[in-house]
Amino acid sequence: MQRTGATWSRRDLLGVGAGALAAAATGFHDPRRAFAQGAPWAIAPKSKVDEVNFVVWTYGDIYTKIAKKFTDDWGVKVNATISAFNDHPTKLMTMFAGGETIDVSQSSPFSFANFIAQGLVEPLDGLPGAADYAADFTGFTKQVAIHGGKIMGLPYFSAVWVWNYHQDLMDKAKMEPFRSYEELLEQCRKAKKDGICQYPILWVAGVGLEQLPGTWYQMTWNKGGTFFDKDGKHQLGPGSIARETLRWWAATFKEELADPESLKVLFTASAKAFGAGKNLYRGPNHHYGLNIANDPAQSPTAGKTKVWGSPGDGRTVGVTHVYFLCTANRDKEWAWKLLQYLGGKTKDGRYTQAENLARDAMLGSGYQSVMDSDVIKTGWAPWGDVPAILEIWKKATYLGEVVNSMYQPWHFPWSDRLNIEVQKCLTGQIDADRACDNLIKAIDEVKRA
Amino acid sequence: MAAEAPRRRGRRELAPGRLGLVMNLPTLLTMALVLAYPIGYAAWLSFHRVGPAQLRRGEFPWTGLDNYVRLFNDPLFILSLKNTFIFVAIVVVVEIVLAVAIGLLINQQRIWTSRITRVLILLPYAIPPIANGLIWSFIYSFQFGFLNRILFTFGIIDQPINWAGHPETALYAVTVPYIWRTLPFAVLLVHAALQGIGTELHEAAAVDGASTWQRFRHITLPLLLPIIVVILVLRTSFAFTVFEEIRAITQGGPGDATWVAAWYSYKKAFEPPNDIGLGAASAWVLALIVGALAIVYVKTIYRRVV
Amino acid sequence: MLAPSPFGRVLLHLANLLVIAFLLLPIAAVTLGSLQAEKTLQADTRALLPPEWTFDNFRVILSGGEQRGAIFEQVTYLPDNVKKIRYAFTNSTVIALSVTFATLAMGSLSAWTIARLGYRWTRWLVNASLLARFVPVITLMIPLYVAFRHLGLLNSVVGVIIALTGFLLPYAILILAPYFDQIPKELEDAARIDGCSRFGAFLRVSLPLAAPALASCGALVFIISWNELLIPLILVNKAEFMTVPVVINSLVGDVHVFFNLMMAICLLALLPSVILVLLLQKFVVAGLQVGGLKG
Repeated sequence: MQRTGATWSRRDLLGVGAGALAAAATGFHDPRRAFAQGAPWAIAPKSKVDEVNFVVWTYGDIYTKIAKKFTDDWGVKVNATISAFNDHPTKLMTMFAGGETIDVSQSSPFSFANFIAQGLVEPLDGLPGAADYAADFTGFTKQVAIHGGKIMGLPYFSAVWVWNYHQDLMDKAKMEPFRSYEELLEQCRKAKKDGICQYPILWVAGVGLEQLPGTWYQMTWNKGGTFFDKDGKHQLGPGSIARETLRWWAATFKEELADPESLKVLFTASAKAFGAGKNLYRGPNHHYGLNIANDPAQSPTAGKTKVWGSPGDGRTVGVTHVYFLCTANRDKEWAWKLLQYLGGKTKDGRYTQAENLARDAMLGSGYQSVMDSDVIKTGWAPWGDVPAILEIWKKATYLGEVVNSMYQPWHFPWSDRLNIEVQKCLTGQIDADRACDNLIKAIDEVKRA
Repeated sequence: MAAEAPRRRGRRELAPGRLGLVMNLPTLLTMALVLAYPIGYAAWLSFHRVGPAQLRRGEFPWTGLDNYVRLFNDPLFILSLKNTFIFVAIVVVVEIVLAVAIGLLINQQRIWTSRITRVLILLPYAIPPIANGLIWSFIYSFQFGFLNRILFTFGIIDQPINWAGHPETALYAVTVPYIWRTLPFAVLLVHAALQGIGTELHEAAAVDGASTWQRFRHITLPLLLPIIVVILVLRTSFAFTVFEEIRAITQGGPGDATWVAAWYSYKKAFEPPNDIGLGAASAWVLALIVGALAIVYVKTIYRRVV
Repeated sequence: MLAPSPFGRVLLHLANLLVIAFLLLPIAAVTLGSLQAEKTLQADTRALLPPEWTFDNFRVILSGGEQRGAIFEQVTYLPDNVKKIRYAFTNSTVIALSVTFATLAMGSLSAWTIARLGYRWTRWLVNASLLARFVPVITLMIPLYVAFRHLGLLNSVVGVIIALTGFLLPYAILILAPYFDQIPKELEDAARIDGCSRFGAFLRVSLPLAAPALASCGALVFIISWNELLIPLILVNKAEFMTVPVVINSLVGDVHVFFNLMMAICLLALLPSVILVLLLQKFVVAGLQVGGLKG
């Protein structure tokens, strides 16, 4: 990383905007061009690199497309290391530990604190355009991407948790979507008894950072509880909402209302499975699953999966996943350029990636301007009821407020234990009390390590 | 050592000792790099606190036996060991029984289907373990698995069974693909031993009026005992390190029902927070268990068989 | 064995059929799985045979994702590793062949010295090989990673070849040494009297005579290195350098999403070893038996 000496007086004289000043502080900004355009994302860094790379988890074609755009716009080759979602943290850590160069990577909010603590993440403050991006962050995004007052990442996508139901089965059962958890149970019992479907609910209960845990987090929040209070004390004790939610949840398995496949499925897989039309409801899941369940190419029941909000006041949770600049980059300016292509604006000044993701994959954006734009309204329309989803979006709180251990580096290993204990509880090996007690003990264990 | 042959025309040749060294140099270097050094280094790592940031910097703080203490205080590790022992016990017992049975079967010279079996028995050996795991996860799948389909077709069940997803059955379920894959080795050893026994003893005993079962119990079985012990020790050692099938079928689940020792090491070392010291320690414990068996093998069985 | 009674014969035939069915179960499963589309798999979960057959899964793989075929036409989500699968097959082939060659070369050199030049340290090499066979790969993984990083051998085919060769040399030595032992020394002595050096005698006399053992050892080493997962997994994380098992492993997380595609990949992955095993049966059997009895 070359830094030319900053000469303040010259910048002062030129009097360009805050962005240019910030850029000047890092010493690589050509004041004349900035003055001409005021568009930091359109300016090439002075240094030369042969290639840049990013380490991400897989999602369709999106990386091939954006990598090609980057190469077309800037003439630099882009290398991608792509793995399955659950494998990504491992891949990233192995590469980092191995001394490899990583320019840009991404993180779920669950791993982010861990990555920051391990020194993988480079703060973005001061880079040209960073402040403008931050000003456009949605509420969720601010809570994920801003750590200790510093901008640590740019948004990849945002999602909120919604329920799904199957229109045909609902009609067959002559029911209306549920309005309370008791009603849900009754409907499911009736549907099972009448032979409408063998397993009325498909939950997202596969092992992962936000799949199985996400379902528990969301339902607890909807019932009015959290997992940790503001001081970080756990809320898993006897009689707590989290504990009782787990108990209620496990009962759906015991009564065989829950599809056993639930324990294996993550978001995409559960959307696919739901598309087979065998279940009445799909438990809390990322809203964009509709993009799969209602896709005529993949689903035999395209168009029949409907979105539904949560009971009570409808409160739900949401997250933003982020891209970040890795400290192991080869050239900070070029890494920042690449980062922007993934999580910010491309050379033409558009949020290309965010718009593509909304159109192609029904993902939400971490940028307020994108969320408010037509791209969302028209992009999402083929797969679901956009106004309904946006209504639900308004009622969504950032997941970190429900589980503020997410901001701690020990959240990751604790989630491992959470997955194990909850699965044991759902399969009837232990009851909710034992599971929660074990988890409480586990907090101390992981903190020590 | 060969008697010294007359000097060759012109060129001098290396003395036997020197020759041996030169010829072995590539092997020694490679084995040192890939086997000796890593084993020692793994032990060394297990005495330090090592995470990815430290690995990158190259400096790790010394923690002595701390990793081992944490290891044995971790209920998940104890459970992993326990699951591994159960797994190994089932696998080895079943495999020995099946190996003897199938070995006898393919030894039947006059049964033409035995010849087919003799050829096909090699198949499982050729399958990549990870592919084997995936195929069996298809067979076991609750939603659309092959096993359930077969059972439906024969009318044996009318509700799908969750073979690998049920905590009670999961560990047993994963023994089947592992046994399937590793059976050929055991069968072939039994087969070789049976060839060695020959028919004279059996014919003599039959003449004396012994039944098939009596012949088996009193002639075949005792003579097979040495090879059974070999299979016992070898397969036990290798079964301790089972990994691919767990990775492909259950990933340690449901819950912690199929967490085995190798899976524990892998998860601890390669998943954040990447506690490499702990992973190395657990891998070393596994190596010590297997090593103990190896020493038993080398000291007692190898000498006797050779 | 004495001739079984007619009833006995029937029982034995049945037993064979049972065993054959058990042996072929996964092969049948993977074949049926790979020749169907995802939708038909979900549509009828009780039928044994698929209502519709399709080669599209193979089409996608063999064309590296270019040709989608009818079932994948509108699918936007195709795992990146699937596109690079042709690299994986090339890598696997190159690596397996190289490892076989290297192991046979180094292994026969060492095995011969053990058989002929009976120094104490060659005996020690045998014992070391015996013990080395028992080392769990998982124990090797982390230090191998660190060591190879220092040497710059990560993400390279050469690195994987070296690692696998080192790992498989003990097997080779244990199979080849007893065989060299068996070759009569007189043949070599005769060659030496004719003016051959010791090494020449090895090369021109013993090595050709050891051909059957080399074939056995080679077949086994090829199969093991083709099938190996953990060592390439730890040394490689770029798609262009992955081997087939590593690619399969990377797709495990997506298994519920692309089941039939994965089955097709598995089928292609197991074909080379299976063909090798069926063609070289005798050698494989001999190798396993020697390898088992002698360690």
